[in-house]
Amino acid sequence: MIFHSPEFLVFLIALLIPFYAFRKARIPLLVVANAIFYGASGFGLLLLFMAVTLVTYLAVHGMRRWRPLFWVGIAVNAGNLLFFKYTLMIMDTVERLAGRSLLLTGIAREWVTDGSGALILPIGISFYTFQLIAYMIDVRRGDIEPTPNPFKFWVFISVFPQLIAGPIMRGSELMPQVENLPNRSVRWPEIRYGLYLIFIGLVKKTVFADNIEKLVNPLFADIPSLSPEQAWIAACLFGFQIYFDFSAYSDMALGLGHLLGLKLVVNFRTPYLSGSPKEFWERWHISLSRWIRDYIYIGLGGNRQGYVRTQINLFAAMLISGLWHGAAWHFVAWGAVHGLILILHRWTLPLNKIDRVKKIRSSFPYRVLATAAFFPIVTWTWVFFRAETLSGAWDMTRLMAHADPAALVAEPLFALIAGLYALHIVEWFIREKEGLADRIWHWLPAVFRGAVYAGLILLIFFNMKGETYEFIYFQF
Amino acid sequence: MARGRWQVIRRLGWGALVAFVLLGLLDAYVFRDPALYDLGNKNGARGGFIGQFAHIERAFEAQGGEAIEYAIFGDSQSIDALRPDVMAEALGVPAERIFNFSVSGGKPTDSLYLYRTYAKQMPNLRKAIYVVNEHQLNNADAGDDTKFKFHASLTQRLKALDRDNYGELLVGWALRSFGLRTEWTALVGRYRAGTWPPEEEAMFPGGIEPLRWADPKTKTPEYAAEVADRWFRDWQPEGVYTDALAELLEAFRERGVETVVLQIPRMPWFEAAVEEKYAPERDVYLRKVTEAATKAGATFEVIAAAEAGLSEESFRDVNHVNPDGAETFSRYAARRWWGNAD
Repeated sequence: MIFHSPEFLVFLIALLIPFYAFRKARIPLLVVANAIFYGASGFGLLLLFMAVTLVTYLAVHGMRRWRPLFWVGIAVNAGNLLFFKYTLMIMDTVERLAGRSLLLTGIAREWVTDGSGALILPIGISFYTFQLIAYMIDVRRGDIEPTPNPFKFWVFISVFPQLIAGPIMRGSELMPQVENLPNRSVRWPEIRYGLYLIFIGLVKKTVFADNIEKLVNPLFADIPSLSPEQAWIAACLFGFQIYFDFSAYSDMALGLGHLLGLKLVVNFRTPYLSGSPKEFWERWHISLSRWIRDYIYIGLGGNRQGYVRTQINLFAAMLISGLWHGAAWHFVAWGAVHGLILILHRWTLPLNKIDRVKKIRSSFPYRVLATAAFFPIVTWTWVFFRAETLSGAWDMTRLMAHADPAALVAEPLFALIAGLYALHIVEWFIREKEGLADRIWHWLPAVFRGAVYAGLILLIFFNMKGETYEFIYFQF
Repeated sequence: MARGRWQVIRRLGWGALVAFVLLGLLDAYVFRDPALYDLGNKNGARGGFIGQFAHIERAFEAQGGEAIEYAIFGDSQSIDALRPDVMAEALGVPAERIFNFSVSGGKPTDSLYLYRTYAKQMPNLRKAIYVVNEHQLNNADAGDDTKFKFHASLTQRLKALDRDNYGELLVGWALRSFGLRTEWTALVGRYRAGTWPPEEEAMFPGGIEPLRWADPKTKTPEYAAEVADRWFRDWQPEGVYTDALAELLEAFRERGVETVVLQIPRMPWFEAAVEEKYAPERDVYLRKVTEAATKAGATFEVIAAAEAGLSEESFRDVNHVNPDGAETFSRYAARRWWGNAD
């Protein structure tokens, strides 16, 4: 069930009416609603999700008495993810190295693929696995107390706005809110804000992401025929497509959270305005970046084990981030490229000790220049994410190296990219200066505002037509 | 206005309120107006699936409901085969006494919708012919029918719900701008291509204009088998169409309208194709129609081509008569079922 479908609207209305009317019934309502929401993708997948959740719940409660249970919980979660997401990749790699097909790989392939040979990937598995693992680690570290109520634990892990594609929530952030659900009233400003975020998300997804996709797909389908400039156009457009797509989902998730009285973490803060790779990861898929930092990078020792080890930890964390996105070598390469960029950037940080450099770096012109310089870099990295193979990504990279900036500006789609970037700046203003933007907007006559809302709703309908496009991050 | 409701509006915001009002007005006066979807009459378009309701509306308004005593309901077969002008001539009555409400791809839900829309404007209606055939009782894809999405009531939509279409049908009931988005968005493309809106408002006296020609390839045994397959695909004789047929016939009975339910002639190739592959389904269909007709005090008649004096030359395709066939069958039908009218 996807957020921009009429089925979801019916589901939401059917849930919200009793949810607002019967405060004490909120937990049971969400227990059932979350199961229905996830079960729409398949009953077997729901059972698997419930089983993994139950095992985690039992492990969390048992590990204080018998510590190895922690590792049992980790193994079940990681094993579930590895099995469903990476078996095919591992098998393919093993067979390629062996130079022939193997009996064991054949059996494993039958388990994880459907009749057409496509991977059976339980929807949202990467997100719920990371959230469950984080919960176990937080309990083990003593950061949170495990909830004794299995139903509340189920609501915590399966709450539908964030279930399929995050944001990945911590126990300390979401669990107290879940516990408090029957006691708090959802106020009008929250509902209004929630509706506003859902509306923004719908516009981003249907008007922008899905239409940009129609331009991107033909370009990436025939890389050899692209000119160097067209390769840049394709990469830029994909960068905006994935941003609109994923941030649309996150906006809607946040908005839906507000409708339920839950505050989910912000996942995107206009990432293409970043002036450095470090800043990019503080603005792009924030909940995953935090997870990788806190549970992988710091888990590996972070920056506490010497200069070289810090670089290795950083690189390893980004490799895992890449692999998390998909079982393919081009995703690993994407993570590796980002790891290298982060390391290179880290090498420049000691320069900040020089007062003059620090002063320049904190100036507005430098900020503009850094942003302008970093945008093409991050755009290039998307090639590794989007290309279907590593060799395809490499071909496109070589192509992009020969681009002529003047010819790039003359490309017909360059104006679109410039427009999208301008929109990105507008979004930054609306999000970061919310109060001011709100005052300006409400200064306009209500008739005008209403006409814009109505026009946008019709535009959403126009773009939805008969078909519905899924979110890119659903595949992860 | 109660204080609480006022508070709700104030809290929701005036902009949102204006948007609701605008969308409501657009829905009521634009998206629920069949004329919006009128594709004209070029190349036998007959207005398109929804636009044909606008053609009916214009023809009905031109004719005037008061005069109508005889009505025909059905699908494209009865558009072609039952011509009000020919029937009137055969009966020796003015043409404005007969109106054909048949629509292309017509289902019982369409006929019920049309009857309910115009019933009060026809105080003198006395006799009706309902033209039925197998596809009208196949409820398998009722929820996907464009015409159904246009006019179906909430109750009808609830009957057509399934796991895949419940969102479309329920949200589409509240907002036609959503439910019919595939239709109106297509109009934008037609507008750009210069094919919409139509240059002039099509209006054919007595109903929708019959088609007079068909591709010769549609008059073959192979095409007959193809049509039969289409009509019986995922055969589902229970559902909203079947219920609508019973409801319509019951509405006629309550009003005292003398009704004949008619299966009009098709080419022998078509009958053979049905007999060969879908005999059990056809028997269920015959039983269902007989039950509905009997319950409503109507008669159900299945007319073979030869019985009505039609030959192979009377058809333009395997299940539609050509103008010559229409002349023959319209006279036959008028005399046989309405002959004792005056």
